[in-house]
Amino acid sequence: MTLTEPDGLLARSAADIARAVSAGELQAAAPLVASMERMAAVEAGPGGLNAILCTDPEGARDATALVARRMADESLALAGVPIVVKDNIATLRLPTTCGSRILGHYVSPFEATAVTRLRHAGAIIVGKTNMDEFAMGSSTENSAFGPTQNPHDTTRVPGGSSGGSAAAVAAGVVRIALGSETGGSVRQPAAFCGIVGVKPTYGRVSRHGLVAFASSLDHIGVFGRSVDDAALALHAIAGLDPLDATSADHPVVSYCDAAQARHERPLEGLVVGWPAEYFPSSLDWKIRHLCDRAVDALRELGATVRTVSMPHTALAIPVYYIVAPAEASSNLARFDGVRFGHRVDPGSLRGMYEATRSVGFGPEVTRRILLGTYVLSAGYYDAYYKRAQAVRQLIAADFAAAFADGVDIMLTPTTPTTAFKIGAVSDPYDMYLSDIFTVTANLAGIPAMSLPIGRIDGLPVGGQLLAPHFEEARMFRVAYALERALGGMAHQ
Amino acid sequence: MVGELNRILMHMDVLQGVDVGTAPAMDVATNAMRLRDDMNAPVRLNAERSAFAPAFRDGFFLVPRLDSHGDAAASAGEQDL
Repeated sequence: MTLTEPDGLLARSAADIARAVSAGELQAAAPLVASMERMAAVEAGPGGLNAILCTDPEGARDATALVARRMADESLALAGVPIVVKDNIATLRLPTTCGSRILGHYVSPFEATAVTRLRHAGAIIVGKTNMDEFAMGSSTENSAFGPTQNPHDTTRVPGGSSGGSAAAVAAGVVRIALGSETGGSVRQPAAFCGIVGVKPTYGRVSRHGLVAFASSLDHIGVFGRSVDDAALALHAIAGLDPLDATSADHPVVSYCDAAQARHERPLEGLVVGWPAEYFPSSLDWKIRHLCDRAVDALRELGATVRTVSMPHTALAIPVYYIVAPAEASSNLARFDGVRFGHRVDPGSLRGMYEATRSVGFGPEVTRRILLGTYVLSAGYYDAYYKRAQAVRQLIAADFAAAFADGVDIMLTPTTPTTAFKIGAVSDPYDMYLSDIFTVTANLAGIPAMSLPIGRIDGLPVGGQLLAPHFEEARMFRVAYALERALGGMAHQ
Repeated sequence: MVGELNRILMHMDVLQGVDVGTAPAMDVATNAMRLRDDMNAPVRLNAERSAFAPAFRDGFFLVPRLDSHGDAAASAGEQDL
């Protein structure tokens, strides 16, 4: 058995599985059975991936029976398609731990809108996936439940923070997974695991039921084994939700556009931006080479490529690591042992607060809460937080200027390296730098995605597409065409 | 931990030299944010609060007593919490 090549049913696309179930060619429970068998195989023993934190076989079987009954009356875009959900997205029957001891046994009393919409589309929730604690990390090593391994090389990280979801898709347990992004936590693990990862526009997907980390940066995103899988999943969850005041009342169109990619020059007239600051001289020349090959493919598809300047890109990491911890220090104040979650009670109120949070939070979460509290404190607020918000505006203005100047989409590397060894990056700031090409899209709120563009020494490399606000359909059009043009080269 | 935090803050100092002109603070949701009626969102809970609260009785979340309960001077100090 290889860890990255599913066989049988799960080798088929999500759309094909749903079509076969809807047509009666497959029993509704068949994809679930295949998924559970695959999960058992890749998670087994001490060498297992540790991608899945918990499963609910009984609930999943009940859900397939419900799908079978509903198909008599309605068409379901994801009929019988198994999915997994990152463990910071609320589900009713399964725990929602956020990879943290402080929520170790917590079961949410309500369900995230994105999960509800996937279920209504016919998807079957197979399990919850491992993650960096409260989505703070880039390797899934910060989980209280142990690190997840990369299916391409089990001595390496899958990326993070949505590493469990990415590893599950890459290992063929499912075709589709939900993740969340605050600074690249879908795109970076997608790149490390050789799959597709999408962060939609801020407001495109409801965050009701997503445990808050940094509210001006948080998004729910999707993983797919192919562009089509990701398009199908995003279409199912996108759109206005009255339960999320930041969700946008903006038309949702179908992102599934595989037929268009079969045209000879499907990107004729499209202007692709090549932002010089994302290709510094220090960038690994092999990653640069693979990006150049992708750019050449876009040209052959009819696109024009133009160099653009994004002069504030280098400031994105300092800005992000002020704004995100500041918002986190506020959002995570609710975990105090009073209303839900773990409580350590030494017998006094102050002692309970201190012990609950000291025992409940791991070192990276503690570090960010302290950092956020500091940059918001009197005397430092203007120097850090207020200034970071102003520079954030400059970073967003870089994108706005490029798109206003006629650039339709940009292509960059997703990450500056391939997946690194478990335990290899110990300095927190060095770990933060692995987000250097992804945090800008969260700071600006624009849609972005990563898709495979090649391999280096057997390890996947992702190319990143960045589009203007609410132009996900354009982004997917380019992704379909690029995926088709690269073909097998994307995985070599 | 203190050394790590100081090293991280050193990297943030690069922002002090940036000319931000009159750039306003970022509002990421400028194109998306809308206002809703000022009322509770209709979220239906699937479980009673007592089912997930560490300690709950008669509609209240229970917490331990203050260390200083009964000690007026120390109690005033606790209010700074």
